[in-house]
Amino acid sequence: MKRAMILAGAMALAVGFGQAYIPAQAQQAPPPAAPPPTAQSQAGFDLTGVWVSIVTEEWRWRMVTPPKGDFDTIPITDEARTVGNTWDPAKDTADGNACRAYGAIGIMRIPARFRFSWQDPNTLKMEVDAGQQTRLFRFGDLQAPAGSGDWQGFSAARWLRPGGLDPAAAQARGRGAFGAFVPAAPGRGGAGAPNAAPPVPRGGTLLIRTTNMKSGYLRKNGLPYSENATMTEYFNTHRTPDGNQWLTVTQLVRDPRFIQGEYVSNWHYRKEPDAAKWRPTPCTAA
Amino acid sequence: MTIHSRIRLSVLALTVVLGLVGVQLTAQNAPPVQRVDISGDWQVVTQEDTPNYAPGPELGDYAGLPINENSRQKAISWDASSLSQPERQTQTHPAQYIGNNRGPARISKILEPVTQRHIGYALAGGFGRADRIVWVDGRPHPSEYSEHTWSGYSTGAWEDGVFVITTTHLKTGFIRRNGAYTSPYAKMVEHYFRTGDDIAVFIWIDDPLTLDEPMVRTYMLRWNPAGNTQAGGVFESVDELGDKPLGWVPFFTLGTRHTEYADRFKIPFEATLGGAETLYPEYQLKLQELMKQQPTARPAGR
Repeated sequence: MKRAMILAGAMALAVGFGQAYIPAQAQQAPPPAAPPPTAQSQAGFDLTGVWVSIVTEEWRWRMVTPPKGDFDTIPITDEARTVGNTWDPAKDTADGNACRAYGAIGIMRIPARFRFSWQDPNTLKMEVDAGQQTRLFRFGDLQAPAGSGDWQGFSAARWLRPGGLDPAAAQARGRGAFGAFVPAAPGRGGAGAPNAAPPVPRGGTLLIRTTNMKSGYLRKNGLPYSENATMTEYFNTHRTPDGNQWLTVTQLVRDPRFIQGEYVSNWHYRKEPDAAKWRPTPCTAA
Repeated sequence: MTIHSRIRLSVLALTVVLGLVGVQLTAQNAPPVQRVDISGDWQVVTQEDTPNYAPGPELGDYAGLPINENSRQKAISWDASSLSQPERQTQTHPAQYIGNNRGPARISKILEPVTQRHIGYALAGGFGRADRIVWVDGRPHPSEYSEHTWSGYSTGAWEDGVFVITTTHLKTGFIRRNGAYTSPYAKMVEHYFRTGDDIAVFIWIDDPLTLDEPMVRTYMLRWNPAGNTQAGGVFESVDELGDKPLGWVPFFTLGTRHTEYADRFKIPFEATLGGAETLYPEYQLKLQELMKQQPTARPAGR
């Protein structure tokens, strides 16, 4: 009886203590440094494929070119109204500016199909059939190039965990998303840890900040944004009970010259089974 | 107690303590539950699609709605004065409309009083007290024979950190304040994506009786901690119909053509009648053809 109790106690001790002790053993011999995880491997959801605009909102400003001066719903400055009222689509076409409504800010509201693919493991590419435009979402600590950009500007991208938590910022504080403990990386002090990336939770948000855009149009009827405009976007995907997959994009646009405060909008897109309806068309100014 | 008994007891106690430490460390390595809270005071950002909510849509503007002939027929005959009838003056907006309109200005957690377990959210509806309750404790929806209400019956759960509300048991009610409607068989699903201080809300409504395909909408909530939201105003019943006789039913006759909207914005009348095909980019090709027959119309936007 005495031996049995001692044996049982020892086994329980081994099981209980082992759970705590084994990871510590593993920490004593740090494995060789692994390459940093790529943006593609850290994705909480898969954006690749073709998505189609479902135009259930702002229909009369999107499906038809609105009349000159119809700037309803957008918090614009007086200067924006003045400049917008000089809109001349024929002049835009003649000047080679037919794509002014297809810049990074305007393109997301144009009825179109959007095709996502990974250009490389740290660059997500979004092609648009209407206007034949391409946006590149670049991950990593990259800076926008100096000087004026093009219609699509420079887009820096980052994955956020559900709730909008930034895993990079959380790890810098020693805490992970939702307070889960994140071991400090070797060489940075703390307890030390295996250099394996933690599992990527499903879901979350793709955060994109776009700058360095050429001056373009918020609407096809010439409502302008300037080259100093900046845009923050949240990309979220989700499923509905009918099995369809959706992409919802929130845009927060600031432009001290043409927008009062912030212009907020949401656009939604449904995933298509293939690219059968992909129909590239050139930009049109009217 | 003998010395051996004390040793045994000490070993067992130590085992329990170390076992608990081990379990605790193991739990820290478990995947976290992604349960993102949406409670608080919120400000609805009203820029998007504003005219549909304030002052309200125009008669005959069904563009962008995937309505079928059933819903369209009812919409065409709908007269806003019906809300002035004594029996309808205190009627709140139905959830399938208010849910995609102003949204809740305050979302409060409902806690079970004794255990403090989170069992639901109360969504304060400012306009006409169109309040809603969303249960998150796993309870099922009631029998299909249960009462239908303006707010319906809502349950919520988290999917990959997104809060998802499913609502059934709705009454017949409009989805746009010009008469386009859904039936009591409609089902509404809302997705709340919280990104820091912002929540993007996506709404999906399916109804086999009135929609060719599910209707979707989006709007935005922004955290407003100084909002101090008070109870919304209830509607009062007053005489709005003047000399109309009791029992008078406002309506437009079937077959009425509400052309004012199409004329004002130079959009082909056929396009303003809505339907699933009007939602897709390729409809712009049809619009171009329709516009050739209507020289004063605007160019298609693509």
